[in-house]
Amino acid sequence: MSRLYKTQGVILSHSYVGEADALLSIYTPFLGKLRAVARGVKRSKSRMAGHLEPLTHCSLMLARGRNLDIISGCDTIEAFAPLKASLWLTSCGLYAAELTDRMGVEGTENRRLFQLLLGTLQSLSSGVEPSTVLRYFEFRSMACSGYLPEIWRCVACGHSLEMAAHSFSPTAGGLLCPQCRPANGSARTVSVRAIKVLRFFSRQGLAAVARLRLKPEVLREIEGLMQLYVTYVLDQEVNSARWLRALQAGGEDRTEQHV
Amino acid sequence: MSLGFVPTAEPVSRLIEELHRLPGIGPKTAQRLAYFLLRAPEEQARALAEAIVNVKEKIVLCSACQNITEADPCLVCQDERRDRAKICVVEKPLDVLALERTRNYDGLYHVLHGVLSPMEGVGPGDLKIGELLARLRDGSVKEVILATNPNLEGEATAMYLSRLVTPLGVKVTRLARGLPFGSDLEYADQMTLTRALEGRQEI
Repeated sequence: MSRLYKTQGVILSHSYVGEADALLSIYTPFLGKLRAVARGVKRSKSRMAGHLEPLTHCSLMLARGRNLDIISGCDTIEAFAPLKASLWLTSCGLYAAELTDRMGVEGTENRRLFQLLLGTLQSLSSGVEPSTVLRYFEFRSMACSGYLPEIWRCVACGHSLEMAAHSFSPTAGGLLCPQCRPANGSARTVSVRAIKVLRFFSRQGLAAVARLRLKPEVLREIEGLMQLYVTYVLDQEVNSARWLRALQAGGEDRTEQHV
Repeated sequence: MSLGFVPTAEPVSRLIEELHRLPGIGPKTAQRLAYFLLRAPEEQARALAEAIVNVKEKIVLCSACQNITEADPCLVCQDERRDRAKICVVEKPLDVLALERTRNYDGLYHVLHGVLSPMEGVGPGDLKIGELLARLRDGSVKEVILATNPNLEGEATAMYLSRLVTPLGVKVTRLARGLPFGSDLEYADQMTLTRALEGRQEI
């Protein structure tokens, strides 16, 4: 096996270790999540630092190390500059990256998750309504990691659900019919509009979702629903979600500003 | 935390465990350092112990700029020759030293003691942001220079601070971003080159 190998990937997060090195979490199309060391990136003359910032899509050359692989070369494929020029969009991007980091498995290929992350960053960067993109990302990242919620049939009795308001239970993993709901204490009611959007998410790609114009209350409803579900699946809240809520409370999602 | 070492005298194993807690010190290095200190002259070991105790007992945060200092307010905040209309906001005390080495800045500082990091769960409440805003309220400060690092978290922090400071009627500036001295265009990333082009100057 060659000591050097190449891959592309999206940088999810970095933490500095030692004098000037960084430990990176990278999401790749064929190797799943990859943790690697970048040497000397804190030094101002580092040729790699700018290419290895979180939320950057880059091509990488790595050398196999004893524990962690070491990045020996890199080049930016896409930097998502418009996203990084806005606090709200950067925060949305970091949320998607953190969710990918939590859902992705080291050394396990998941190309759909990689494409979803890349598409999400591209959409955020090209002016698509960020909340819609994030809700789609939450739904689809669960789906491509094996946690697709059941939204067509009752998850308890299997009866197909007609288009009406139903209940969603994160613990059961999907919608419940009115007969099965009483048995499940964690279920919460979901409106017809929210169910329609989730069904649309399950069948359509990002390009179609980008054209959606959703009412704020529907987005909020789906956000609450997905937050419950994501927290249940991960067994803890996503850190960036708290930050997004704090920014929303300050009206940051409605005002864009560049320094 | 027990490291599972072969039995050693309790004071030695305790020293090893304490050293092992330091950043970048693994179990083997901790052992080497402990045995070095064991063999070292008593004065040397005592000096190290005193230095550690002193730093914890005597160092406080400056009530104005939040930098680490022995005297409150710190030497920079006490200095009458400094321009009190400018505050340079940095992430950590070491950044103050880096800027002081340039000998080109005569204003005051403000140390945030960290940077916003949504993924790590570090929010505005964990940084010295309230203290900064309090310093701006009396209107004597005319300019806030955001000198957080030019990386994703540093940029996010700068954008967040600018949202808070601008409404107070204080001019907010950001350190220029571009190519480091002695670097090579060929290896520069898109973000840096774009910023360098935007910030080009007539010579």
